[in-house]
Amino acid sequence: MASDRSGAAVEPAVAGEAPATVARVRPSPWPEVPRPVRVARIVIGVVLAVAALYAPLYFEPDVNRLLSQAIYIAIAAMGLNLLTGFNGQVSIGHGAFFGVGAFTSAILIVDHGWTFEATIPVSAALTGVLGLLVGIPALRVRGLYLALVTLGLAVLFPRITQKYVDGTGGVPLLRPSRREFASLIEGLDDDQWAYYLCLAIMALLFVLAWNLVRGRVGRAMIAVRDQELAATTVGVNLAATKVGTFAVSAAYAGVAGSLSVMVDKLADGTNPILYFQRSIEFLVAMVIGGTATILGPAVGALVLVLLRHNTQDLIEGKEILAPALFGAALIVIVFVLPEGLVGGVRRLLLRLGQRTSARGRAPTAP
Amino acid sequence: MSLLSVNNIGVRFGGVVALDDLSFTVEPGRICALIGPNGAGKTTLFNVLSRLYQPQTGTVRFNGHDLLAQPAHRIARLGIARTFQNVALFPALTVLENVMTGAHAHGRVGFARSMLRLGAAREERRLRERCLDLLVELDLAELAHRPVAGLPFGTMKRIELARALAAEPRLLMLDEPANGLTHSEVDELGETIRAVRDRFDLTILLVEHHMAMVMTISDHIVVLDFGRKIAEGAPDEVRNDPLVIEAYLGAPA
Repeated sequence: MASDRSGAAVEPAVAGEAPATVARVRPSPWPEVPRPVRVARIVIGVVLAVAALYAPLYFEPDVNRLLSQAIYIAIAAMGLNLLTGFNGQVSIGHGAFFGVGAFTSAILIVDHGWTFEATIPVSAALTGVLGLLVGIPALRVRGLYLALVTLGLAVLFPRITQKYVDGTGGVPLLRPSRREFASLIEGLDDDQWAYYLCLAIMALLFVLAWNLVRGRVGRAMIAVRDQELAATTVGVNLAATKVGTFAVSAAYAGVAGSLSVMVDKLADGTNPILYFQRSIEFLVAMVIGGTATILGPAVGALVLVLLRHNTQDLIEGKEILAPALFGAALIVIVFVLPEGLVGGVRRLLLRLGQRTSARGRAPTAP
Repeated sequence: MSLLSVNNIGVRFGGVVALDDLSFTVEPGRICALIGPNGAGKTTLFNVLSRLYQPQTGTVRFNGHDLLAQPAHRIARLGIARTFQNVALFPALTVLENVMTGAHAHGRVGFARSMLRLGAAREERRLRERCLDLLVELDLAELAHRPVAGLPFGTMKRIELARALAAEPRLLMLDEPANGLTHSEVDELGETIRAVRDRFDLTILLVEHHMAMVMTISDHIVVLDFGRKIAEGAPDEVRNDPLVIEAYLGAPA
């Protein structure tokens, strides 16, 4: 269908017709979305929003905690998505930024008596600067080499927390007390408050990301990902774009780390591979949700968390098999939907739109 | 005064001399063609002017600026836009978005303002309208919202031209624009290049193998062979130059 239309559109030029004889129709400045697709989008959006807002009132605290975990993973995965999906820089080191965010919040709360909510901007700023500092040397490497360098970051981070936190008289395991995260709104339980705070911050950060990728900078990010030389010749500053994306991306992971302290009541520096695992989690959430899509990281994170939770005790007495089941489920998703869940839905909607626009055109044809 | 002056440019890759002491000037409003056999150094010169290659010797002045003192991403803002021999579009973006990216150098909105939408919406709307007009002029309007991946080669070349024009350049560099086009498309291209020059008040520097088109549309021709300038002048002078015939056109037909 699509190829038919392109053929028709190009034909005049191939036939060498004088431009003046071709009717010059000025299309709308924005892509026209067929009505059923628009309706489907709105319905999906409203249903998701209502479900997200109602969920914590319905579920028990342990489920809410699970959902809150999905949200902070979604935020970090969105950060990674900006960097890897839209800008083409692979990072397996985002667990480290996540960890810095977590420890920033935990240290400020435990040692300095800060309110949790106030620590979030500090985490964002600190990890943003850190992302800038990592982004500059990252300019020199790309692809698999960049993945390896950032992997080093994720592996190095727990060592630093062990040394640093011990050295200043603390412990690598920070457990802020429950009081620090008490609900600020009357009538909401602590777990509900945590969920809504996470959700609000995710909504804000996703809107900011959406603004970024659909504008001038977003086009530059994609241009740098796909065609560095051409991007340079149209005036894109490669270094500034890459380093800037790295900083924003790291700040997202940092905020996610802060939120994890509220949700899990814990900043853990004792497990040397924890932050490496986090890096992989973000990567998985991004890929199964849909790389370089806006909603992908959120969908991916939710699927990841629920899948992992539900495969945990699926086979009674054989819990050891759970990771294998989880892994198998991931493989199936990637095979069936190579563009991720959101990419798959988008394709479906596109096809729906093409079918209806073809039907709409039929009566007008001579 | 000339718009572009290339003075004694020399480029070496290891032991290979790609450009050897090359000098020429381009007058404003003219169409200047660079011709020569494969490997003569034509695209190398384009890459020097785009600041993708650093020459070992020589200077380039463009519109009063020392071009070689500028970083590559500043070149577009100075008023030089180009196309590529094998088309270098951004496949994931739509046709319109590709053209909008061409105007990147004129935009002001950076990371923070983009995310917070401070002034971004207005800049974006104006840019979108302007680029849409450009698409209409180049008969690409119907394709505006399609991704460029999968479009025919000739169409992609026109999109690349539109992207270069979106930068509102003073100098437009076209690297083998007729490459891969059909006969009728080449004829049309010649007209398009002239029309675009007049319409947008451009100076054009052209690398091209398609002799018929070069001879028809060029005001001035520079002939390169093994990185050296062997002749220069109006199409008729160059056509009859024995050195050119020997090095490039072969035996006189």
